Amino acid sequence: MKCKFLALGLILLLIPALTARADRVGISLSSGLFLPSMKEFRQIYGSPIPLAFAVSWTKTSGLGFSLGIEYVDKSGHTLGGGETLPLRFRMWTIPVAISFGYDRGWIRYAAGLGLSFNSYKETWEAAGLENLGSSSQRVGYLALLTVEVPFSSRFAALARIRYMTLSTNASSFLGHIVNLGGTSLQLGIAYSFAADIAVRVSDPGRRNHER
Amino acid sequence: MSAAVILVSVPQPRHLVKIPKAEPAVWTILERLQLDVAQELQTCFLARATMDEVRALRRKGVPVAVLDWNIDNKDYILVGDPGLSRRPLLERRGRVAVLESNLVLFWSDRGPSARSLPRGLSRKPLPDWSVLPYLRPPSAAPAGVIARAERDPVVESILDEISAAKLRAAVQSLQDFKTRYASTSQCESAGAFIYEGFRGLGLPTEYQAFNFEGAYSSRNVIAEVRGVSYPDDILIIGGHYDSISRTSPEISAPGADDNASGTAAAVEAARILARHPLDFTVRFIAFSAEEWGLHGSKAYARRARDQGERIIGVVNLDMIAYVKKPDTLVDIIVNDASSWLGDKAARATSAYTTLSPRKSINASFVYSDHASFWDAGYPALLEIEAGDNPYYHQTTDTIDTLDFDFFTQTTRAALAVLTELAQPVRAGVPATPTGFSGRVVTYYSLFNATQKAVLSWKAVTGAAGYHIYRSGRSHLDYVRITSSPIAATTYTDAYLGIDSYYYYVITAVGADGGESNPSREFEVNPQGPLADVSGLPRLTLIRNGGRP
Repeated sequence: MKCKFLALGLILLLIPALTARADRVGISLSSGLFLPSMKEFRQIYGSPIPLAFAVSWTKTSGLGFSLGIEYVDKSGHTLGGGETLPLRFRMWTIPVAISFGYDRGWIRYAAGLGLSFNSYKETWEAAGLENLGSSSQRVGYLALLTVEVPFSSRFAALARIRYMTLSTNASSFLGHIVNLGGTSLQLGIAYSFAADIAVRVSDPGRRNHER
Repeated sequence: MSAAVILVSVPQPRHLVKIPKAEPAVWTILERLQLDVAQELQTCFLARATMDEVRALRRKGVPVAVLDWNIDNKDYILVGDPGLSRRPLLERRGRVAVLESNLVLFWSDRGPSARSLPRGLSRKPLPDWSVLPYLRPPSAAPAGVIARAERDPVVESILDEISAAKLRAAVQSLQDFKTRYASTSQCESAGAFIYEGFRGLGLPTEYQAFNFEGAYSSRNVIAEVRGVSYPDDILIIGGHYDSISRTSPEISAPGADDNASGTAAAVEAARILARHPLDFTVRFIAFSAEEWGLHGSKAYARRARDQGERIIGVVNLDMIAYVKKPDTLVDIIVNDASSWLGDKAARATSAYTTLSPRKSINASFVYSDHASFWDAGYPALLEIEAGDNPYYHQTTDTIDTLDFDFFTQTTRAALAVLTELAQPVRAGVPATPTGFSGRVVTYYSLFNATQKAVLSWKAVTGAAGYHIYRSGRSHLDYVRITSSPIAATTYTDAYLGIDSYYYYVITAVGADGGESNPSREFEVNPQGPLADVSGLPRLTLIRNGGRP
C-alpha cells in the first residue's frame, strides 16, 4: 500500500507540470475485451467488455499523463456443479498513468505505468440471496501500451493494451485471494485538440512570444 | 569423453513430530499440507513428516518438535503414566518422550516396542495410517450443559428388562475362567463361552480371528440384531473380555470389573434387544487383546473402515461395576468428532438412570477399545466408572468388589443411548421412512458461496405426508423445518451457509397425525475451497450418514 501511495504522490506532483505545459491534449473513447487473469473469473463471467473514456496530456518530449474512467458490467453464473445461479459483476475503474511516447507523424505510440482506482460490486441475482453480494474499493497497478494512427488532423484510430493487477485481499471459497486484474485489449477513436488550445490555456506568455 | 549423469530421487527420511494444538488454524494447516497424522491427543497431534513438511509447518508459525528423527522400521506406543512415575523404568527399556502430564510415547530402537514394555501398563500403539481425514476441530457447542432427554416409554420398558441377576451370573462365569489373558487357552474358552451365549439368543454370531505381537492369536466375538429399516447403518455396543494382572496374568487375572463387567453388559444388551425389532442394526462385540494394546478392536475397526461399514456410533464399556458408595458419577469420554455421541449418552443417562453422567472430551484417553474406532473415523464413546478401582489389574479384581446396583444403572445408561439411537419399531404409527438420502449442490461466486441440500426418500405406505428436521449437531436438537407435512418424497433446503454442518432426518406422518421414528441421518459437511473448478462437477465433500 505504501508503494501505491508513493506512486500516487508522484503522479499528483507531475500532473500540474504536465497539464500546464502540455503540447497536445487529447481525449479518447474505446472499448474491447477484458481478459481476467483469474481462471475462475473467466469461468464465471467470461471476458467482459469495458467502455473507456480517457483524457491525455502530452509534451513534445513524449512525456505524458492520462486520466480515464472505465466501466465493466457483466452477467455470469456460479461455479460448482450442473446447476447454476445468476451473478452480476460491475466495476468502475479510474486509471491514472504516466507515459512516454513517440510521434512519427503517421503513428504515435506510448507506454506507461500507473495506478487504477477501482470500485467493484458482485451481486447474486436470485431472490433471497442479495446478502451474498460483495463490494469494495481497491487500488491496483497498471501498465499500458497505446498506439494511435491519425487519419485526419484531429482524429486518430486507437489501439490499447493494458495489464492491471488488482488483488482484493478477499480470500474466497475458490481457494485463493480474488484478483480482479487482467489484460484489456481496446480499440477506439482519439481526438486531439489543437496544441495552441492547451498553450492558450496554460501559457499565454508563450503564445505572445510566438507572435 | 562424456559423462553420464544419473539423477536418483532419494526419499526424504520421515520424522515423528509433535504439533501442539495451539490455535484453531492448526487443523486447517494440517489439512492443507495433507500431513500424515498418526494420533490426535488432547493438547497435540503426532505426525509423520519429512523435513520439508516440518519447515512448512514452522513457516506457518506452528512450533513443531521432532520426537524421533527416523521412523523407519519402528513402532510407537502411547503409554499411560500417571504422574510420570514409570518414566525411569521405561527409559531403561527404550526411548521415551513425554507428551502430556500423564502420557508418554515409548519406542524401541531394537525390535518391536511392545516386547520392551512392562505388563499392566495402559497402552495404545500408534496406527500406521493417517487419521487426518477423521479429525474435527472443537465444536462450538456449549460445553458442560447437559439437557435432560425426554423419557420415551418404549425405551424405558426395554431398559426395565435389565436383570442384575443375569449381569452377576455373566461376570461370575467370566471370572471362573481364572484368567482371560489374551495369550492363554482360558481366554479362548471365554470367547467360546460368549459365542455360545450369543448363539443361544438366536443371534447370528461370528468370530473374528486376528494375530497380535507376532506370536499370538485371539478372536473377537460378534453378534448382530439386524435393523429392519436401515440394516447397513450400524450401532455397536461392546467391551473387551480379555483380562490382565500385573503379577501373574497367565495364571490369575479374574478381571471382574476390568472387564467382565463391560462384556456382561454387552451380552445383557444382546439378550434384551434380540427380542425387539429395531430400525438400525446393532452389533454386540466382545473384543480380545485389549490389554495388549487394543488389538481386537483395532482389527475390527480396520476391517470396518476397509469395507466401508457405516457405523453410526460405538458404545465401549470398560470397568462399569465398581463404585465407592454413595458416589453416582459415571464418566463418558469422547473426542471432538464423537462429541455428539457423548452428549446423547449423557442426556440418556440423566433421563433413564440414577447416575450422574460426566461427559468429557479427552482425545488423550486412548486406553480402551473406543480409541480404535476413533482412529478409523467412527464416533465412539467410553463409559467408565469415575472412581479409581484399587483392584485394577490385580488378582483381587473379583466379583465381590462390585456393586450390582451401580452396575445395573451403568448398563441401563449404555442400553439407553444405544436403544434411542437404534430406534425400536413402534406400533400405531407409519413405518420409518427408508431410502433417505440426498445430494448437495454448491454454488461459488468470486467472493462467496452457498449450497442447497436436495433430500429424497421412498414413499411410506399409509403416510399422509412427511416432516423434515434439521440440526447443526448430529443426532441432537433437531428442529422441524416443515410447517405442515409435505406430500412429496423430495425436499430442497436452500440456501445454506457452506461452512457449517447440517444434519437432516425425516418422519412420516399418518392421517391421524401419528409420527414415525426418524429416518437415518443425512449429513452435509462444511465445504472446502473449490480448489479446481476445471474438474466440474465439483469435488464432493459430503458424507452420507456418517462415516468414511
